[in-house]
Amino acid sequence: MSDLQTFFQQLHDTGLSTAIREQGFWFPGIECAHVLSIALVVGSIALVDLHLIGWTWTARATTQILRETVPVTWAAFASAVVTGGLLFLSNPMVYAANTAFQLKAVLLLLVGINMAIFNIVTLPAIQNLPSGAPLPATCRAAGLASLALWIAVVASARVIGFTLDHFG
Amino acid sequence: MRTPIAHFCTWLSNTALAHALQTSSWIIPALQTVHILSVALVVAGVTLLSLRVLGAAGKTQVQAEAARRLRPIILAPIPVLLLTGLLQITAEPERSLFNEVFWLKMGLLTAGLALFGVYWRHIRKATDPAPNAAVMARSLFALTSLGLWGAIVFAGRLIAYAQ
Repeated sequence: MSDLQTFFQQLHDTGLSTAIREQGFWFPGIECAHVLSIALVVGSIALVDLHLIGWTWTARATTQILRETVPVTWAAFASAVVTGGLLFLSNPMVYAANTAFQLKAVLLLLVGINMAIFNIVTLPAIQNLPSGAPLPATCRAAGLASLALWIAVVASARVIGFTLDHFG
Repeated sequence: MRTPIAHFCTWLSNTALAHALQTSSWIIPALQTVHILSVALVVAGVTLLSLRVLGAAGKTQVQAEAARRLRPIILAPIPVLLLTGLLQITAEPERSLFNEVFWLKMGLLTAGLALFGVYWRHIRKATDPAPNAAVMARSLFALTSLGLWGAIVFAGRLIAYAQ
């Protein structure tokens, strides 16, 4: 057994893991909170992306849209991480071995890289752009990449539920 | 004795469309993905609008303008939700039509949309600054909307458990 597998086994044996796995209402309850959190994360980010690719709110400044949506995104993301962590905790080995779960983890990493590039390179360049001015192609690329990645995240998340049927 | 709705379920699940949906391994997860993405837009739109109404975000715009900007985000995904929802029902009619949580969700959805309709009729003609009574009513709308749409998402997930 590798160190990681030993660690997952230890997680699996914790009281919290057992409770989520075996108490009927815990898993669906946490799942509900996770879906709502993800919806808010993906929805609030998609609103920014749709603006970046020039589909919505074109007259509004990007910085203004970000000021409005980013707090919602981060609060919901924190909740998604906690609830997602608890779902993972309920059965660490099974999730870690699931291909759709692994794909989702890689996609989330790519989402993070895309966001970092946007924040470090793309955003400073448009910081002083007046409201309604056309956005550069870099914004369009960032928006398209983000939309595509988040669609793939949601799809892979849904596939986890289909390929991991240990709760019946 | 079988009820008309049971007959309808049997008939629907034997249609060619239902068979196509049932035998494909990817159509249902794909429909659910589109459904969740559409719900995400609605919930994000409702949340941003509610935060604006409560004065917690987006205050650079007057409320009527913010509502006009967010209205298509809330309403445009609804037809997509109905279509992807109907196709899921077609694949497995009994799973929803005999499910109390499904009907609860439909009730909450109706209430959520009706509430938004009432708010929109009010706000589109509203003048700034609003009288105190209107501020109270709008805050109540914002909090009720957040609760309703949260409950709709919860009920959507719980349909799978209540069979």
